[in-house]
Amino acid sequence: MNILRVENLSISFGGLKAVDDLSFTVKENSIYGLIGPNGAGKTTVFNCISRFYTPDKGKIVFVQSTENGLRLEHQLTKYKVHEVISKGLTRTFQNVELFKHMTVEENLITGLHSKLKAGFVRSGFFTSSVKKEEDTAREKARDILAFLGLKGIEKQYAASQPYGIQKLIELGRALISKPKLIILDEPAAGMNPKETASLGALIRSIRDTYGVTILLVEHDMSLVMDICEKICVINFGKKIAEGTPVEIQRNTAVQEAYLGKEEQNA
Amino acid sequence: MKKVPKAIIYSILTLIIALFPFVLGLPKPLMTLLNTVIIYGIAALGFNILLGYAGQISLGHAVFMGLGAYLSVYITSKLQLPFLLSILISGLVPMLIGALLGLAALRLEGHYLAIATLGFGVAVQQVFKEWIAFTNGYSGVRAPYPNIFGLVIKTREQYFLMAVIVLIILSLFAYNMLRSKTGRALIAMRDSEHAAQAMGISLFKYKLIAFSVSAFYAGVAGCLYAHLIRFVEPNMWGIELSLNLLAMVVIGGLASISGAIVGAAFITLIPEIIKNVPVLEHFKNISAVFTGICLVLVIMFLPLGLARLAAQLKYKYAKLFSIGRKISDKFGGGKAQ
Repeated sequence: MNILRVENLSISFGGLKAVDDLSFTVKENSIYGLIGPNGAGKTTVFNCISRFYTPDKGKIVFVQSTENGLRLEHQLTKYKVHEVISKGLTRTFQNVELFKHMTVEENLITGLHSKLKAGFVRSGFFTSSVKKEEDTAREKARDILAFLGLKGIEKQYAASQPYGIQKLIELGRALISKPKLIILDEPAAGMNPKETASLGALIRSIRDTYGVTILLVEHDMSLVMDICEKICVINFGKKIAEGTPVEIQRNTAVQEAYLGKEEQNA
Repeated sequence: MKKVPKAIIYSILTLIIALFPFVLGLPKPLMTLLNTVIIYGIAALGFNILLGYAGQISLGHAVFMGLGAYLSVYITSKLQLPFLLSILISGLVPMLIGALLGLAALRLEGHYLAIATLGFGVAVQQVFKEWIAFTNGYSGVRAPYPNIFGLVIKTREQYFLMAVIVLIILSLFAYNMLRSKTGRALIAMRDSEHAAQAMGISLFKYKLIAFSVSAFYAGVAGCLYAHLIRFVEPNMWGIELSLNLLAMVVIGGLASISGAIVGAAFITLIPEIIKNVPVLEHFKNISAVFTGICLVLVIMFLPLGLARLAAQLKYKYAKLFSIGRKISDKFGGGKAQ
């Protein structure tokens, strides 16, 4: 079963075709990698899916499984940026984008924004339903923090945490709304090999524990080859290969894109 | 024993303090001054929701106060409607107009928003000057004493109690709103618009909420001001007042409820204190100079404002203290054997 279908996606900035007729599908409950050399258009694809950009052409279909077993197909291009999360799709950012002046706990609860119902007038009077909602939200945040191994820092400011922890907090913020698909934008950026390895294990356990699908945009080959079940390689906005890590490693087009073409000897 | 929330304790303490003037018998000018502190506190509180929490600027907020003032005079004297209803309407109408100003904020950012709101302020002030039927132009309008269910509030002491009650209600509202979903959305929007959107926060909705709620507070403050001074004229609502609101919030402390009130007290009381200093009293506009200097000093040395003075000093001098303690330990100044 597919959870995400990207069909003939194209977008250009000025004269530059950043993404050119790209199609790929992501299977439910899988870890899917989107890789490519610098400037290949990975983040642009990513921003199209999360609706920060609107593609010139093409479809992005997100399949939402509802609780009563129905499967709803959403054309993501029809939604605004802030509406995407309520369909079950969240993202993280390449350069950690936490709310710096909030505590760790508040950061996570903000991830629940789309699920909380209180309007500003009801919040202002802090009715009992608001209080209950806040309490459950706090509990959920604590559960997630416990899962990430971050117990005890709930009341500390997000900005005062080290970079690695901030990345985890951002993951937690994406995870708390119980999404079906999380898209991670270069989660291993700025991490050393050891941290990257444990991040890989964490991403796997997130998939297994919460039953989410993960779409990964990544630079770090070790992470991608380690955890992705399927990989799509793009270069200059076009798909040049798709397959399992082993297939990708053997693919000559991929090797050329990353390492350059061998000179033809006469 | 059940723990009493801090907010309730502060509210009760404030209420008790509001009763002091009844027994102390303070002179009338001082009571007027204290009343204006509370009223500006309300306006600054609303302005802080906008500037401190939502990170949006407005340099025309004085006209929302003006609007509330004129509306209340019109409602109570021309329409002869009850004062409590007029407080509410004086808040609600600016709230709607604030939402319109919020629409501008969707398109503009930073300096451009500042300029646009400045223009808005100047334009509306001009409307106050020209719309004679509603405002009586430069001649101004007289406001009646507030009448609450037959109780006419005539003394400054009674007025102070009423203003403090309004301040407490609005502070509690702000406190509750800011610690739940709406408050987080505003702060999220200020800290990172991208991440806020990704979390499902509609910038459209929350910018409008920020502008309209802060305009509501300004409108209510304007209404209270009108009935305190009992006279309203267009020059009260100029750029100086808008900038003063800004100074109150920055000096008192951005994104802090108590900061808004501390800032309002600071800006309102400083000119009065300086008036009584022997040498300084001869300089014209010395209080404006002094306010300006304070603003610069606060931004440089206490960026979190006067309300968080203790925490900032503690942080700044923590190192110094720890060094001091080490030295005193070394030289036997520590624990006795």
